Amino acid sequence: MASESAVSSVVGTVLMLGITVAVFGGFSVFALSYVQGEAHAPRADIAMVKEAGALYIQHKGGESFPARGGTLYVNVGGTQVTHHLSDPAFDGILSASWQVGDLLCVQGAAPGCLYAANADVRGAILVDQNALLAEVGERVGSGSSPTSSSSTSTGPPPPTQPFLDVDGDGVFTPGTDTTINATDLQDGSYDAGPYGLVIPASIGPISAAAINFNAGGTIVIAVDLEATTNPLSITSGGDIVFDSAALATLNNNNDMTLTAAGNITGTGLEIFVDGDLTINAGGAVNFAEATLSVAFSNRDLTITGASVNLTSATLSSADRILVTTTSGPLAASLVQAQSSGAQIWKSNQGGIVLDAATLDAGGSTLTACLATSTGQVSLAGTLSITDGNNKLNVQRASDCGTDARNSTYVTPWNATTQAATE
Amino acid sequence: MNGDPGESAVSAVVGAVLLLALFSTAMSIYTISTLPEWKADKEEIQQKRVQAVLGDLRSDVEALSVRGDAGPVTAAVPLEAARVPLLQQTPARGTLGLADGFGAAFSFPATPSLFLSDGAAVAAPTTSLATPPCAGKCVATLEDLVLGLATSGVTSGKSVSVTITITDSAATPATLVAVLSHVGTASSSDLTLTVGSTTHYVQANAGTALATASAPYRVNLLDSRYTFASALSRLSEPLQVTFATSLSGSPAPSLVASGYTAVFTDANGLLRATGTGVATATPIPAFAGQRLVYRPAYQAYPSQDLSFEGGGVLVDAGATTQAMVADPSLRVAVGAGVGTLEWTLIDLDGAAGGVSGSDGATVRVTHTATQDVVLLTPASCNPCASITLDTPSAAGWANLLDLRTGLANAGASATVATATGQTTLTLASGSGPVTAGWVIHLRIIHATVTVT
Repeated sequence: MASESAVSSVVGTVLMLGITVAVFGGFSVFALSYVQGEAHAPRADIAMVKEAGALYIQHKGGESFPARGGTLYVNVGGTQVTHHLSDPAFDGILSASWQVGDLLCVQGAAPGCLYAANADVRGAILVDQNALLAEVGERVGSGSSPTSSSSTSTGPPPPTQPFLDVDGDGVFTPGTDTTINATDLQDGSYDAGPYGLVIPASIGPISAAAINFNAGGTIVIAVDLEATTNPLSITSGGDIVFDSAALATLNNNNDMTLTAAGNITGTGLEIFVDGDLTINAGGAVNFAEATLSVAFSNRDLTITGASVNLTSATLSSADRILVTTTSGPLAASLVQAQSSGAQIWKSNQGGIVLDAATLDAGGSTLTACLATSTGQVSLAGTLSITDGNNKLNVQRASDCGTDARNSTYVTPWNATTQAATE
Repeated sequence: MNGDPGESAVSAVVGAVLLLALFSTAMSIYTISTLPEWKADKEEIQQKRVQAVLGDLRSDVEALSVRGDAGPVTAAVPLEAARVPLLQQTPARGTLGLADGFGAAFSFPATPSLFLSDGAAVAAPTTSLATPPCAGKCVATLEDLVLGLATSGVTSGKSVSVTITITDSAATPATLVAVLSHVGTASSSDLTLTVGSTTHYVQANAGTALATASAPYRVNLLDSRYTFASALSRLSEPLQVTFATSLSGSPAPSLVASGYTAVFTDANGLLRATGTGVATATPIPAFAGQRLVYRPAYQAYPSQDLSFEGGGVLVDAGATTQAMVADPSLRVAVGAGVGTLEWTLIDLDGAAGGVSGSDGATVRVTHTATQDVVLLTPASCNPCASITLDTPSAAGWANLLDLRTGLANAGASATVATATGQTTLTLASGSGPVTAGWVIHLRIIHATVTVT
């Protein structure tokens, strides 16, 4: 019987061993499949090359990986443009996977390049799986990065002295650009001729009887400007860029006019005007999160641009608010617009987005105007409407005219409705 | 259970087995998942190291050619990836060796004019000294400047000289002056060069035999024997070139003929040639050389061959998935109707075979000869010229040529065709972006390679 007992013990041990190995084997398979299933950054040599008039990306060895999951950030004239490689626009340009030798032309004269050879492409970044695959040139802004890694920023340091931006690159280039004494700007008047003008934050705020800055190139302003007794005017043959600035005119009837052949950008900008506020750009107007206030009665807040971005902006006017785009969308989600007079939100092309907006025209009319039948007014989300009838007119632009005070309500708006289209 | 030693032992065995299974599982997970990542990291580094060494080899060989030096230059190529400590018994290794298979053939269906061969003017320099290479400051880089002079009446005490003044673009212009003198009294026929603090001059102490119309005096001012070339390289571009002649003695000698041939890159980056060439149907012969190939056998990172051939380094992941990872000296530009092709090809020769092992390999390259020609194709020809490369890396070369001609916006004036093992660049002029012909500067560097 003793020998049988031993056999039972051995059999039991073997069985337990088998069960243990089976359990851990199953666990191993599960764990390994989990570990191996994790996505990881491609182990590939992705070269991004920038030459005169050309910028391209090429796979130069290593693993192949899906080509359409990445994101390309391009610095075009100081503005970041985001390209998701999954967009249909890349269908004829990129195959399903990046393989050795595959090439994407970002800038160049060759057919298929994203940007022309003469475009102001200053840099680019390719990101995939949250990993920085390649980078070349300068980043947008002062070292800001679309990725979590900012230590490799190649952006130039911010300037410390105002200068004429002769080469138009927005950064001071010794031997080419010319510095300006800060005192030459303190009287509030400066004409940069055909060149750009850069006014850094280091010189402090400028307060003068009148402010009048003109430049043939791009104007970059990183200081507060205040016109105490006369109008404030900034005119650029290129772009106007406000960097953490505030603008103000004091005393009644002092207008403020911002005019640019290109873009006007002022994310977070603060403007207080005691006269008409007129913003006119040949390119895009980007005043996301900005605060624009017109305090004097019978004075309008007027914004015109190829496209306009007023997302999360705060607008107030003692009279009308008139926002018009000439060739692009009007984006004003979360905007808070309060006026004593009428409000006209007008897009000649590209539609209007007023999602979750707060529109208060007092006793006057609220109108959204579209010029094309393909445009759409988006009013998704919780919308707050306050006018004489709790309604928002949605009209074709041809019916709007320039003053909606006498226009007809064609689409009754019910504040409880979540969306409305033309 | 109580006090039964046999059952206690079973419990201990079960515990040990459980621990062993746990350890085995952990090690399995680690080995299968993490270890390959570490291996791949180290193998990727190894690939980059070899790539860098081969890329440096190109510039080293080109430097030998420019200096007219035989060399040799050597390069140490690691053949083994670093080992993952403790856990990897045998690291990945590769082989390096010469393999047959890189050749180039040059075809010129429309006979081009050969301007310069190995830095010397082929025809008598004929462009008048009164019309320097480019009006104003438009010479970005002066590649060659060959002067030809024929004099008469240069006897004892008399001289003929040409002064070449080159002014750069600096705010306070820097000027180099070269004085080329033919002095009748000298006895030596050699050229000498004297460099002063402000004046660099080439003086020809030539006999009268060099001063006849039938045997015009010629000198390439940018020849590496003269320090004028290195002085010139320190000037800021663009440059302005002017000539002035001077006759000394009574009765004055005469300048029977004078002229120059120049090859320069203009301020727009285009290669230009002035002077007169000689129609030559076969200005440069074909060659069939070898490739220096590194063939890794990685355990985790993709095993992709690296080859140093024709002056470039290519990575090969398959017949159609290849890329140039270190470009050869190649430039294509088009402007104002003129096409420019500047290309340096390296022809390798040596005993085929490979080296492998953990100690690495040593590559020794000896420069044997360089052919350097500048050609101008006719303004209207299709095709004007074609250059065919025979190599297993044809797709990689086609990739590079497509990129370069595309970025130059050469359009139909430069087309690339590829087939298995062969890539052809064809140049045309007349109806495409290029209407005034192609200026082609080809340098073929011949070198011998040994791998030990």
